[in-house]
Amino acid sequence: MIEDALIIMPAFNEAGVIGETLAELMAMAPRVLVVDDGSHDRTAEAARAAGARVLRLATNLNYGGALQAGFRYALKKTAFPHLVTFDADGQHDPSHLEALLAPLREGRADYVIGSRYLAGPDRSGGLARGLGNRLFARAASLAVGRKITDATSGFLAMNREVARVFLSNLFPQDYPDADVIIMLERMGFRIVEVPVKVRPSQSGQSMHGGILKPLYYIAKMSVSMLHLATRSDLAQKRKEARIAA
Amino acid sequence: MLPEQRPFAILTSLALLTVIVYMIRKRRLREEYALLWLGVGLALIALALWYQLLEGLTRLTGAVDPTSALFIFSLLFLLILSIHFSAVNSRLKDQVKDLTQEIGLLRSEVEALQGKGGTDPPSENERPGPGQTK
Repeated sequence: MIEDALIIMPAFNEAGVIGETLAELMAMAPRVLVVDDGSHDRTAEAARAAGARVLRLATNLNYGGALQAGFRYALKKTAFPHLVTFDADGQHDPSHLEALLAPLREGRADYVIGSRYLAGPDRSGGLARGLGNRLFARAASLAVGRKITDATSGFLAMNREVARVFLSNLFPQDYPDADVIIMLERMGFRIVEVPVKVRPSQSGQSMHGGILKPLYYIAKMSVSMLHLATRSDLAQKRKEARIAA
Repeated sequence: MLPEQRPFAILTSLALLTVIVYMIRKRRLREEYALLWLGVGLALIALALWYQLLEGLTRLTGAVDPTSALFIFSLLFLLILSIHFSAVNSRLKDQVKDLTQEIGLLRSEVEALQGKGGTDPPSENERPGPGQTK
């Protein structure tokens, strides 16, 4: 049973699947905070019924904004040494949690990425998404100067210092992905990847569906990566976050 | 400027200035924008009344005729204004995000105090009150 980590689960209109996801997750890790990102359905009620603590946002802030609300809660209201981000749609397998937390517990890492590609190719998201993920992983690897296999994973674990940095306005409100990895690496945080397997989404919704959304995402992420790869005050930002704590 | 064009230019500028002054008096424009738009209204009146000023600006910019100069300055002004509003919009979006997150936290505290906050999973020395800043 995992008691030293708070699992942060952003959820938007996931009433149909969140109960099942939580039941499986909480059997292994009972400390779960669901951030209901302005859902129009009964996501919050379903999460509460499953036994999770729920933070309800008045409007939809998007994935990154909801995650940030969870970090804010964790840092202000709790003293958990580790925080994990976990999707509500059943894609993430809680059996990987121990492996994800191990580098943090052993003091080997500040930020752990659950990589879908370390243990071989992953075809759960389709060809186009796979290519997009590879592209960002390649870009992130180039920017940080070592191999990153999965720059778009949402299955992550981190310590409190990383979460503190994530409270700043450098943290993207939509999709924190490769840009965040570049930012953390340039701030001097230790990033480790561990292999995970993901399952097909149970909810059928995708954050990057359609034609325009992925194009916008690629453009936005490219600008964001370029910005964070060239900014010169990132080490200072880390210091400021430490002082603010 | 042809003599028959001048009354239209003066009347339009005066109408615009009147609307701006009305909006300032009704507090529908904040001070920083009030000053900006008052300046724009006065500049338009000055250009309508004093054609030599526009001719001077035309020579200064190297434009072929005064109409082009007027268009260049109008476009530049609108462009700068759009960039400024994008910056304001970004800041407001950040503020709305921060407020939404803070309200979410406060709501969770109220719900916890009312005993409606869920069945109590997060613990690890959880602070029931407003908590510390970060």
